Amino acid sequence: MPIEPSGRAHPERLAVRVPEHVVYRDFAEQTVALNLHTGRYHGLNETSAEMLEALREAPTVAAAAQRLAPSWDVDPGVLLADLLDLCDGLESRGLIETHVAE
Amino acid sequence: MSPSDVAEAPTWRDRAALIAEVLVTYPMVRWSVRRHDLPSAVAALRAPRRHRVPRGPLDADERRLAAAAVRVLRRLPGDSRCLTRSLVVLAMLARRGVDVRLVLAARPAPTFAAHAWVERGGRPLLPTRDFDDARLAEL
Repeated sequence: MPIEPSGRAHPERLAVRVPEHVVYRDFAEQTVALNLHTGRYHGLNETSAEMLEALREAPTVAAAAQRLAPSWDVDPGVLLADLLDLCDGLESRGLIETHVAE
Repeated sequence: MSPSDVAEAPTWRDRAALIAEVLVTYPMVRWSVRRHDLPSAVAALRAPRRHRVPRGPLDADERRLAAAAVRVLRRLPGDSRCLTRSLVVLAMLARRGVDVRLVLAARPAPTFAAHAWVERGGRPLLPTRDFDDARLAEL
């Protein structure tokens, strides 16, 4: 399995899932996430919420970047880096879990 | 209106028993929330107890019991925010064999605000404060 210098799986193999103890709800202004384990609420702006949606639906982070790139008109490399940053932020707050896609 | 339509008034003994129960339940709730994550705390507070409380006039209506418990909590120093209140009511009703759901809600605008209350069969036992359409989770 390819491993990035950061120690995590390559984006082509890295997948995201939302743990059972996290609930998300979309509102007009932003998405609210509640981590039931920590009792903390978190807010995601429209862009982050769309990125998370793509991460949840796509089989890997790289696939999520490919899915978003055409409509966002952004360099795929930049988008992939942004997605990985978002993964780091969400994972550090316990809002997602990453795993190696099968 | 028949006499059965009139709720029996709690005696001073009933009131004293309720106050004592709230005073015992409140630290249990605080301890449980500090020690466990929320789902585990709720499960622990719902766990069946060996000793059930004797039923009094306030037990005839869960909403009345919840309101009475909140009145006591308001006078206590410390944290008596909506989540604590809800968990105290949940624990007291669980002791009486009444299962209620804890509802957690939040809305991001105009400023972020969150609220919690308990429901039985979809009927709120504590004020929802217009958060009914902003539900996030039920435990």
